[in-house]
Amino acid sequence: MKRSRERPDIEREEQEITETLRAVTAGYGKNPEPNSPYWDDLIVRTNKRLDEATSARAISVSWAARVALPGIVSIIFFFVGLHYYIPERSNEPNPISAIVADLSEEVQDSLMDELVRAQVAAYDADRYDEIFEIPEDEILSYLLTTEGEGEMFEALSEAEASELLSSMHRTIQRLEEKP
Amino acid sequence: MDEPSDLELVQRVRNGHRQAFTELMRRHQQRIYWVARWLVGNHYDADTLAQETFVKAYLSLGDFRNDANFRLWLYRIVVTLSLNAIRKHQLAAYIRDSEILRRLLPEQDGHDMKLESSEDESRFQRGIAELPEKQKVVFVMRFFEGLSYDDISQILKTSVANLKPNFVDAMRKVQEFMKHEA
Repeated sequence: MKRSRERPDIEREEQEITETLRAVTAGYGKNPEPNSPYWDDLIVRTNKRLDEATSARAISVSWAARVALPGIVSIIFFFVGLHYYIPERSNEPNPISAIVADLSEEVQDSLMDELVRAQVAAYDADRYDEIFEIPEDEILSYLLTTEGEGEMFEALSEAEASELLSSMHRTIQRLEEKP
Repeated sequence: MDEPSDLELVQRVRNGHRQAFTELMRRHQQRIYWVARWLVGNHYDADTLAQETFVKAYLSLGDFRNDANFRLWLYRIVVTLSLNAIRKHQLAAYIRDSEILRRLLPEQDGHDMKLESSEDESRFQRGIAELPEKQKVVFVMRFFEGLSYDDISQILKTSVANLKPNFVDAMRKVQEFMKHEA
């Protein structure tokens, strides 16, 4: 009964606030509106990036094999750290941020690209449901099971990969146990 | 002659016709750009994210399921990339703010995440920027893109029932923020 009373209320509220907000914000965000040449240029620039991405792929795989896994782990750790430390603004140093901080901005960008690619792939494969949570162990286990021998983890032995995974789990557990 | 559907163009790309992907970009780039722009709040990042979305889509086309909606699939990619861009800025800000880590890093310029806009519009933008991630995405998809709750639930893989309260709450918060900051 409660639900049936609430439903029309929320629909009416949605309609009312939408109308009010639309009236207030009419035209917002369109100034400056990118013009027609901009959109043509965007296609040209995107095609150029596509050329670079497809031609550089073979090279980047070998580079990623050397650095991507530790990088991804550290970024995953960072997000775990972010989740646990940022709200409290603790004065304790965050070891995960230290790892990330040691990386150049260029490497951080590349690693983030790898992480995003892994997220999209894992998401498409229905490996996790919530786009708003960083699925730390899910991403790593997805990568290990689907890309292990073929791509970026080819330089790692199974034992090394397992050790990294265990290490990550231990650290997450430690963080979770922290009061 | 009828224009080919998105799925027909996707098939052509898979058969090696790169030009078909250019047509897909032409069809969808404006929507993708604006989703990114509303999420990250500035032209420079939105421009980069629009390009990255299509690069990721092209490289991931093998993962695209033929029974899926190509536009919604692009939305999912741009949302993921935009959220990560926001997190990356948060990461950079956090590292910059850390006393211990400041000594390890060279000085970095803060990157402006705000829209270039009038004062009122800027308040609106800040109101959106203040929203929690999920509400921000639902707000952009519903308010600006006009997507149905069914479509949004496909992109975010969440239940439809959760979306409406999130959207209404997001609008309330934006409205209150604008009043409060006025």
